[in-house]
Amino acid sequence: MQTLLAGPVVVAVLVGSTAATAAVLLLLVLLRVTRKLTARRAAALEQRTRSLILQATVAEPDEVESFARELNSHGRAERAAAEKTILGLLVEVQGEAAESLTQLLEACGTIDRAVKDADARDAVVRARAAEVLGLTAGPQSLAPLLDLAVDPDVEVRIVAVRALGRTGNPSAVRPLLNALRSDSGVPTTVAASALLNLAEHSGTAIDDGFTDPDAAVRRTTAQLAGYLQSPGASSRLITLLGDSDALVRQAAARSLGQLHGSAAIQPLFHRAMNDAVPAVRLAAAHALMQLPEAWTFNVRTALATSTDPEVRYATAIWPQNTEVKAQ
Amino acid sequence: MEIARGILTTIFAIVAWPMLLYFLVINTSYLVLIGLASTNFAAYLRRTFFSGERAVAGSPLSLGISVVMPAYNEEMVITTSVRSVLDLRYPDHEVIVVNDGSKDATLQKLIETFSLELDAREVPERIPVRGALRGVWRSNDPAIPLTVVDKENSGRSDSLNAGINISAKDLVVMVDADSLIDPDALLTVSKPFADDPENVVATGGVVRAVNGCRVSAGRVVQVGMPKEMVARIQVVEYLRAFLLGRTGWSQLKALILISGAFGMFRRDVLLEAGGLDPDCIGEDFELVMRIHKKMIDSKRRYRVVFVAEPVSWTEVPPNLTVLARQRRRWHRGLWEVLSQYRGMTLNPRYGRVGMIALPFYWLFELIAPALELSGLILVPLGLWLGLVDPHYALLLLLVSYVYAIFVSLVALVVEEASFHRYTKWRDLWACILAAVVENFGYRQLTAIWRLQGWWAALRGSAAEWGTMTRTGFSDERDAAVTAAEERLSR
Repeated sequence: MQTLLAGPVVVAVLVGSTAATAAVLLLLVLLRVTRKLTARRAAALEQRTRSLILQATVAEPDEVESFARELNSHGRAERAAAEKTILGLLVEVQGEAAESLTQLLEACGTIDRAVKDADARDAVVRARAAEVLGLTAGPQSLAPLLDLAVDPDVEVRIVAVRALGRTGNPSAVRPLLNALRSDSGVPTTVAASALLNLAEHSGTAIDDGFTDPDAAVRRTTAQLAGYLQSPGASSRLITLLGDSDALVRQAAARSLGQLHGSAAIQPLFHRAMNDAVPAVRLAAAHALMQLPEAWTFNVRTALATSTDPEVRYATAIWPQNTEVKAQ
Repeated sequence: MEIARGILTTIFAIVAWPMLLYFLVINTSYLVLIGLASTNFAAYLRRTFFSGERAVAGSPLSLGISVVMPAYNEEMVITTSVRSVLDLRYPDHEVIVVNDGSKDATLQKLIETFSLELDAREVPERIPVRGALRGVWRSNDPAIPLTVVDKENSGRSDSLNAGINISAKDLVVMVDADSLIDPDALLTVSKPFADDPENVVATGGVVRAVNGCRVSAGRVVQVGMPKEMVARIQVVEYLRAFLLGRTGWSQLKALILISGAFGMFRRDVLLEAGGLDPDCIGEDFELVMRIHKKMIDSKRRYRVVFVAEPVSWTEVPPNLTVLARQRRRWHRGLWEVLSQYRGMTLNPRYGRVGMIALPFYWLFELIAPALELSGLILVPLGLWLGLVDPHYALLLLLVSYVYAIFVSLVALVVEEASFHRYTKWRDLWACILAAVVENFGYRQLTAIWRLQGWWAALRGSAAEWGTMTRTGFSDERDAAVTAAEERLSR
């Protein structure tokens, strides 16, 4: 040990560790200085175009072009800062204000850049492009978004699918239905939420989903049917109450509660009493409670005898005893 | 005397190099975890623009969340806490407060403030609860999805189990009544469930120290460093161990500890696991370990994910007395859980959890204080007796202390480059100072307390829950809370 720990070795470690610690300290301070300077510069740049952007947001449609021209006359750095501000605002607004902001982004060249970035090698750049195209949701957004919805990178596909929901374009429905498949890599909530955004076009389009061999598609279709109030959905949902997949049965039960069809009462009652899976029993019981009391009085009484305490709890009426107050 | 010298010489000959290596490996492993966390943060920050949290916030298809909050003698803060949780940004969440037999007016305050009505239905008991149920109170207003479960005092875990029993949503998040939650916390912490609903079974959010922060209406509005050095050191400690350490473990797919102050679970998985163990001191750790074991034993695919931002803010012990109790309890809990699940350790069947995470916790969390204290006693003694080479002593000092300071500073660099919560220069200097001071006194004291906790567990003495002196937040609305308030921590 003595030889191994000869003076030079220890001195080298001492010098090395002191130098490394000092370097990290310096890096920490440098990072803080850089951050402060960058933030100050960004704030100054943003300040130069902020008022213009806010005026354009509330301006009449025919006035926006002059604001766009004015914005375009600013330098590159100002336009980049303005782009950030506009994208931040675009998330918050809809309608004419969103259209005005989109027009400003066109003036900044943001949309053209996003279309170009849709072919970038870096997946994060492509995903960012998809988000911008979804936020602006102009006619030029659709084609690149349809491509990005089948991008090899799952993260890009997720952003593109979400963005397609914002386009309001019926051509987006088919790729969104494809994204519901369990092998698409896109979370079903993302694809389903996008379809909900396109409710006027997706109401009948989801029809095939009720009988799809993929359980994820059947489950999401069942979920969507309740929100979309799809025509003829009740009978299909009642059929799905007998599905082999418990999550499909659960989704069907929940949607039947939203659809308010009297034909669903007996099938839901059967599920609430007899399904092997507690979550399905509970979903069916909750669904029955959403239906008009006059229709369900008898089944509610019968559910009080259920062996499942959660079903009894969900279907019991409360408050039963309002006289009892906290002491 | 000669015999003693001989024994000491033999001890040094055996332990000298392993001890050096131990400190080298422990600090390096922290550095590796920080490195892993920094890659995670870099990826996260690059993706913030298109993270889609707003879409989740607006979607009726988002999974519902039950926020379960146990409360014991919280009359001073309970209404502010509940309001701030009700106001969290999420499309479908309910709040369940479990009044754990409070001796103050916690229940009355809730009933009066939110116009609650007694719900006399028979409560299903999927998870057995020890504390007798006294009543369930609900708001009749659909805009206030609040339920209060009133039960006899039986501790935090049992209260959480009572809350889980009554929860009606797909996800359950457990929070403490005195914790403050960032407005978007539910959106972010539930995102892994939305992204991978079949596999994600639990997520943990980061917990930061609220001491020194400015709080208004149950929200942290300005982040700042605490005044007390003890609390400042804990800020750095939480940053290094909780934020960066757990993110690193999550990145390694071997996260075994989710803080009870902010953990989200799939309700069906919680029910299947049987809820929290009311007899275990490290109940949060035990629950996650039980879930890991259950999932692996039944050969199911699953993920436990840590979410680094946003956060839950909690008050850390502002003085040594409270800190000592906390650290004894934590270490005791660590021992209980590690020994309970010892069969998983170094068992290849349990993958990274068994082969990496558990051995790490045994070696570098459980045993660390014992080794640290033996080094602190033996090395100076050896130097005094002329049995230890001064070069070795210097090298050990460098490897154990200077390297530790280096690791803490790297953690600060990662925080600065990523979330940058402490924006003032004076906070940065305070963090740097705390990273250095931590190694002189604080570290040794915590080692002693941790050993005491372990020893108490080995002796089988009764668990020490103790009291937590809360100094309160600098909130103009809750000025009354700033008076020192005694409450049982469980």
